[in-house]
Amino acid sequence: MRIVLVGCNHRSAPVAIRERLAFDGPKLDAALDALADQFPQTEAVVLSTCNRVEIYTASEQPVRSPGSEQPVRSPGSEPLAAFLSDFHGVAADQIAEHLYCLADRDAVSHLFEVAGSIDSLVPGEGQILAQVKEAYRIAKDRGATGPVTNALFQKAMEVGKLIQTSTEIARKKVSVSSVAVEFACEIFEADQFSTKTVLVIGAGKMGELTLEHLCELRPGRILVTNRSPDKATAVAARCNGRAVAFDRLDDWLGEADLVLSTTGSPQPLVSRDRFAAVMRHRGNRPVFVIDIAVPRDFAADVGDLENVYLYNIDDLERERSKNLEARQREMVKARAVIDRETTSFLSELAHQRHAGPVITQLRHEWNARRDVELARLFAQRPGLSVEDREAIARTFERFQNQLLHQPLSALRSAAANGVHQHGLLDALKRLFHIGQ
Amino acid sequence: MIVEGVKLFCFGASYSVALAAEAAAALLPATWRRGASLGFAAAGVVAHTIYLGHRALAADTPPLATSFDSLVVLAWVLAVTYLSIHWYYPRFTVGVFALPVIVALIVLAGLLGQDSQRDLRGWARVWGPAHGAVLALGGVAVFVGFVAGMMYLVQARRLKAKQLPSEAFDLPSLELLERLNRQGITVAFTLLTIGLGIGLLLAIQQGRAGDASIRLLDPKVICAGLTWLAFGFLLQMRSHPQFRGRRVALLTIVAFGLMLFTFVGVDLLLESWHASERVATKGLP
Repeated sequence: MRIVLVGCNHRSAPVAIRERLAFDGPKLDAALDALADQFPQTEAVVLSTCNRVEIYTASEQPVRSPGSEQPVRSPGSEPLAAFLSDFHGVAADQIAEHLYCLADRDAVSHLFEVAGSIDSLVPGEGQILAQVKEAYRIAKDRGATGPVTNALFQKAMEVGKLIQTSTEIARKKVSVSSVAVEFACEIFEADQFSTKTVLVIGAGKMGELTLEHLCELRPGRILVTNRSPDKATAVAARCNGRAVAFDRLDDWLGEADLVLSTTGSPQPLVSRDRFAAVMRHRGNRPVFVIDIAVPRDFAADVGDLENVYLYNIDDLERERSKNLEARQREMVKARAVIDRETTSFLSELAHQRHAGPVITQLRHEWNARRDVELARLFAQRPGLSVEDREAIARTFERFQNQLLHQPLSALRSAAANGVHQHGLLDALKRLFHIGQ
Repeated sequence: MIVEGVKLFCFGASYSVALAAEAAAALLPATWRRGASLGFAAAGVVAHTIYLGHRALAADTPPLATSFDSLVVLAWVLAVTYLSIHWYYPRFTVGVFALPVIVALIVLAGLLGQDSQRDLRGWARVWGPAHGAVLALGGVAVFVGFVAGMMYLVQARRLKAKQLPSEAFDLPSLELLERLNRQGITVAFTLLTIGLGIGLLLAIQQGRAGDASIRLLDPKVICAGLTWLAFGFLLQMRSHPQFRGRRVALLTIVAFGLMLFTFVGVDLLLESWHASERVATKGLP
């Protein structure tokens, strides 16, 4: 059994190549059908996201090139690369240098890295696990998967969740907007945001992105103000807020708990004295000011006022960098988990592949012999009641299971520990005359 | 018997180890630290409970009639409060603020030494322990306000320095800490009022019964009155815009110091009827 992966990602290929190889919408179903036609007896899953396109296959026989009688000596990557080229109508030499081809342990380990978000553009982001799950679901619904890819992708999702829960990789926020939200949660109670007012000053793109994140906290009220009332109205419509007059800025500052400022003003809009007056007006209630405008909208010394927590773009960027570094440290832990789980998966797979048929045959033969002996006993003792017969049959079955338990456990244990189990399998076959 | 072998030192040491585990946050993985601090604090509470139970059985009254007992009981209530907070909010670093107070109370009780048990009669037999119990509960509210105030100051400082919390040292939001601080002050003032009221009625009743040993000008009574006034001031000021957040937190810490002085300092430094006659058992029994 070979597991083969061919694909490209954000590191190996520019977006111009990735978008040409993407399997979006109906293309994905067509690709799975085409794979089944061209590579019969081969299980396949196609993972296509904005950052990667990958085809995972598993087959008993080496994958053959279409129309070729000879199996390919390599792990089967050439036919899959050719498939990508043919399916998308892209010249093979244009994509060859951007593709990576991995087999068996490397392919399994890579999928676990993808599911664990180690291989993502932003390590630790949680979306990729859902995308892996969706890719598997589509392939399964299409009938493209089989025992190996089923086990592989189920294990991949398990590993992805394990990495999320056992490491800190997903907890560290790595965008400026999400760091701003983290700071907001350090100032205000997360379940009290419905009582809070967010004031947005300006209509910058970055501001809207940050506002999107702040909206996840479900603030009670969003006020948007801008020198241009039309722009304020447009932003307010997008965030379910209310556009308010710019000339009453001090009033809105007095009402707001969170202020997001992102104007293009060449001079600071709010001086220390102006904001000190606002603070008196608002009863000195704490306020969180996110000033991501460049040049800044709030004078730096506004942050010296009591109960004013003023953060500019550099402050947020600094914390974001720290979080990124922390994530990199967590990657080491995550890789150790992946290494361990890859070994465990391959051992289990090998066990199922090699020992599975032998165990099935052994059980089958013992069941047959047991049924013969029971039939003989029941023929000799026709007076036995139905209850007695069932009790005797259950006892025989229990006894058989107890006899088989030790040898089968030894086989499983050998597989789990990575011990080559062919010796044990041969011994089992010879001892119990299986297949002879 | 094992129960009799439980000494002040046993649970004092347990709480100290729990504190050391909390303080070693940067060195220990979070799960180890939480497990160690929770385990040792729980062991301390068990030993503490056995100690108090044994003392109550031996004296045949609740162990609240002397300054020594009041301190040990107060430390016990605070330890149980801390353990509950730690259990429900394991993410937050509460131990480094709460455990030093608990350990300090036990050390002060040891320094103070055991008083001879007073012979409480009549009204005093019921209302004496009630006076002590209500004031001890008031002490818990003060403690909650104090710990929330300390945490508020640290959290506000960190946010002013524009730093996010680390896993090793995480605190609740400023808003929650301010709310806990305010609630602590409100409950503390209410309980201190009731406790001191009971004490006042007790003194008047004892005076009528011809017992002149309880004096309203006793240093402890005066300090308790000042503490009550301080909390009344805090209660009044908390709604004043200029006294939000950091200033109220600072004042709560000062008021907590005043309460601690009333509980212990008076007995150690001044002549007070509440100090009673000491038995020569200083140190950690």
